[in-house]
Amino acid sequence: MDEIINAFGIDARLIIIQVVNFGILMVALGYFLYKPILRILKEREEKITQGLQDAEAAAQAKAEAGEEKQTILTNAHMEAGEVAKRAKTAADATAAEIVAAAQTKAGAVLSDAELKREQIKAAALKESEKEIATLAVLAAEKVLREKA
Amino acid sequence: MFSLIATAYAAEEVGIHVALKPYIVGHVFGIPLTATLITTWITMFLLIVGTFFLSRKPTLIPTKIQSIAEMVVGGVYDYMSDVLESRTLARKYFPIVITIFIFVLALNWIGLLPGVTAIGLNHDGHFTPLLYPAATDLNITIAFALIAFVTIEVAGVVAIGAFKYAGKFINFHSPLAFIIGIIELISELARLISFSFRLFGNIFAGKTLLVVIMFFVPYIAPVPLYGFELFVGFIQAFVFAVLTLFFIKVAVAEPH
Repeated sequence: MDEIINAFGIDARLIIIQVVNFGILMVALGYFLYKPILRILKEREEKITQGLQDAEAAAQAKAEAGEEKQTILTNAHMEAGEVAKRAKTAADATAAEIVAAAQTKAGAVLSDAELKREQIKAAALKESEKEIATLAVLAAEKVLREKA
Repeated sequence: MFSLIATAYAAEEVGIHVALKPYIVGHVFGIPLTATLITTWITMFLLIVGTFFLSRKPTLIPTKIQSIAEMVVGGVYDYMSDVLESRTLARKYFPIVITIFIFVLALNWIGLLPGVTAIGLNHDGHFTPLLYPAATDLNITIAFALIAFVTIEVAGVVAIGAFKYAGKFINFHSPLAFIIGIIELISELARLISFSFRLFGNIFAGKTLLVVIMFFVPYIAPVPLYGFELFVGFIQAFVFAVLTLFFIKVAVAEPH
């Protein structure tokens, strides 16, 4: 045994020093390598999971938004059609009203004008009758004077 | 044996010097300061400074170096979670297993850098390298083996309780169960040796091979061997860490 120990130069103190070396290196690498790297790996994993979840949520939100957009558009179309229809009906009614009113007015104006015409005509007749009478009298006077 | 031959060669000042013993550069408070220990400290310094500047404050969008760190750290963590089938267990033993992997890998690869084994002190006609591949020192591989061994046993005791865990090795249900338990106990203890000598043997053999080939054919020929040693360095680090992990898995399992 002594021979083996001597041949290989085995020294318990050197073995202990090497064990201590290992301990120091393990602690140092733990601080500078294992801990930070494992931490960053975990962080990245969490971040990727979070990102994937976010992307999924965003895709869902987008799909929902698209559906909502479609409903809103359909509704708007329908409403717009209704509004247009209502407007047209209202406009038609107003137009009819206006036309009717205009016709009544026109009728009134026409009858008024007829009345006036009759009056004027009657007046004119009366006038001309008077004038004719006067002329007749004058003519008779003239004839009488020539004869005389 | 080898060291005797090596000493004989060294005396002639030519030839290949290969020693099983670590090179002793000097003594501090009576404790031998070995070249492998200095290499270990330099490796630790580089790892700590490197991680301090590169991965202490990681960003959500990774840089290239951060991506590598994430691949290693995250990969090991996920693999451990898979093998142990528990995040809490993986979290508990993760620092030890990954430090074994990174430390052994760094030691093996830094041991292949040019200058390691070549930079040293020359006194009395003797050359003593200041830097030497760390895993060629049995002290260092025994330290790793002890760490792995203690971790495995502690994991077993914590997971299923000291009494139950001891029952895996010593039980009197039947003569057969008793014998199997004793065999288990021996193989458990044998891990100390297999762990330390596997790493030591592989790296020592690789180093020796490189020294030999560089002595005979210094140009070009060592290149593929260097490539192979890079691979061996990785595999040994991987095997050490993975075996620790698997033995933890076996230790935390309920006995049946």
